[in-house]
Amino acid sequence: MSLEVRIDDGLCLGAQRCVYLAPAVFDLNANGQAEVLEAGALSDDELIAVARQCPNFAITVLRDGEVVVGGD
Amino acid sequence: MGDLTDHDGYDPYSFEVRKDPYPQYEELRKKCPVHHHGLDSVDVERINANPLVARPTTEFWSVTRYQDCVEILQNAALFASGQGPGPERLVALDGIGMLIYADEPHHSRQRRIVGKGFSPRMVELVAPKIQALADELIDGFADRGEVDATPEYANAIAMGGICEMLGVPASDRPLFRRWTEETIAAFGGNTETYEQSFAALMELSQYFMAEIERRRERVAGGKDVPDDILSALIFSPYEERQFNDVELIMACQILLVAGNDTTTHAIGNAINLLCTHPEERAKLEADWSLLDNAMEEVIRFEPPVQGLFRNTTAATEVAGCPIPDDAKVRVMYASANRDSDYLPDADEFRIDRDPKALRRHLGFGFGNHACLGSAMGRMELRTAVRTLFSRLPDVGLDPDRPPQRLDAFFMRGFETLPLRWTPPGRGA
Repeated sequence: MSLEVRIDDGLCLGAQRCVYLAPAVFDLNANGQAEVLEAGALSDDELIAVARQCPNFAITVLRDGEVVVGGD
Repeated sequence: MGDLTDHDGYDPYSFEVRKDPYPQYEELRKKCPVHHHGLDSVDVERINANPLVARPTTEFWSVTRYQDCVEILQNAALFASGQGPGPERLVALDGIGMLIYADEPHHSRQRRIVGKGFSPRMVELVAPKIQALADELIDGFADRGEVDATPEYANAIAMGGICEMLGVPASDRPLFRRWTEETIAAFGGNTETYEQSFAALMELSQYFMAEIERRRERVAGGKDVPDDILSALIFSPYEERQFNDVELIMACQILLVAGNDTTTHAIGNAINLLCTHPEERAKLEADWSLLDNAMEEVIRFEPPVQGLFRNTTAATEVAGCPIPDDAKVRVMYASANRDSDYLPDADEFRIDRDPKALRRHLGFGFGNHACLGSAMGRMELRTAVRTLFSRLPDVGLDPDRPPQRLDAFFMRGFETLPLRWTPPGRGA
């Protein structure tokens, strides 16, 4: 089962850490917040490592509905 | 020529540069993208008078191209923040240095606690209060037909906003204005301003410690406390992420300072740019849905924070230029934002740019230290601008009193910004 990635737009400040580290997965939308392009563009481990670096703790990663990163 | 590190004619402290730095930035991007500045003896003495200086700074490197700035800001391990955002190399305040003065692991823990309070979600809750404040300020001066917008509008909104977040009652705001001014004066100051700044910090500490104790007692007694940032900082629900008392005070001081001049000058720069670019102003007044984009363009074109410093943790190279270990590197957001490799026609002020490209500007920094208050600042900026221009439709710069530029190293904005309009009821 592949990972599901969510951006919380109540937390994302557009610091662009994710867009810089993983441009195939994350892009910046017209509101200046991150959006997910293609979660499968990185390996699970790589994706989790990137998600953990969000300085605004706005990225949640789930595997089979279970939270792997974020959510607190 | 050929030596990237010495470009005669650029003195980051010169009056010419402070007046209009952009032609110099363009020269540097073309000819000397990593500029070495050896400080003269007066500047060495001034900068290193800060009692928290660990080792005196005698030189620094300024980086002016967009992509080089991005690479530095995204590499916090090599370009560290723990010695402070200025040219001074401060003692490492392990666990006490806060946010812009902190590296990992402390930085993430602090940012998680403080960040929640400044998230877009929280900012939406404060927005009606900022709207009410902007209306109240305009009610107060509308009949005069003139105002100096820097102190009476822009700074009043910035101070009001941060005091609202910290739960400071209106009656105590004059105190906070003084403490903030004395703290800011110490950036690149001298012995006297450092002493003043420490005195201000002591007064501010006493004020907040008393309030913190009051709130702790209320909670201990089963009573409620105000739902604001200060409570969020004191009563963080995660034990391992709780602030100690010193961190609490440092957080309050940083929030006060960081939310003040930045927002003040962003608002002033926005008013000035719209008043001096009538075609762009007309576009906005014809379609207020452009407001967010217009304010983003203001921050790109004239960022109030021109650049901040990092400190290298190892010898490295930027754009082929060697930079030693333990060196202060100045990341020039304002120059990066005008780099035509990042954005075409970057020297033009245009409010209807492609939002996705525009949003990659460095006006709020970038990466893991990106401005924590950016959602708050953006909200204050758009509220201030929309309210002013829609309530006083013929507002413009006062032709008899030209605005005076701020004479500052870090900040770009206006010391005074006199405006004039036709008072309501006296229209032609």
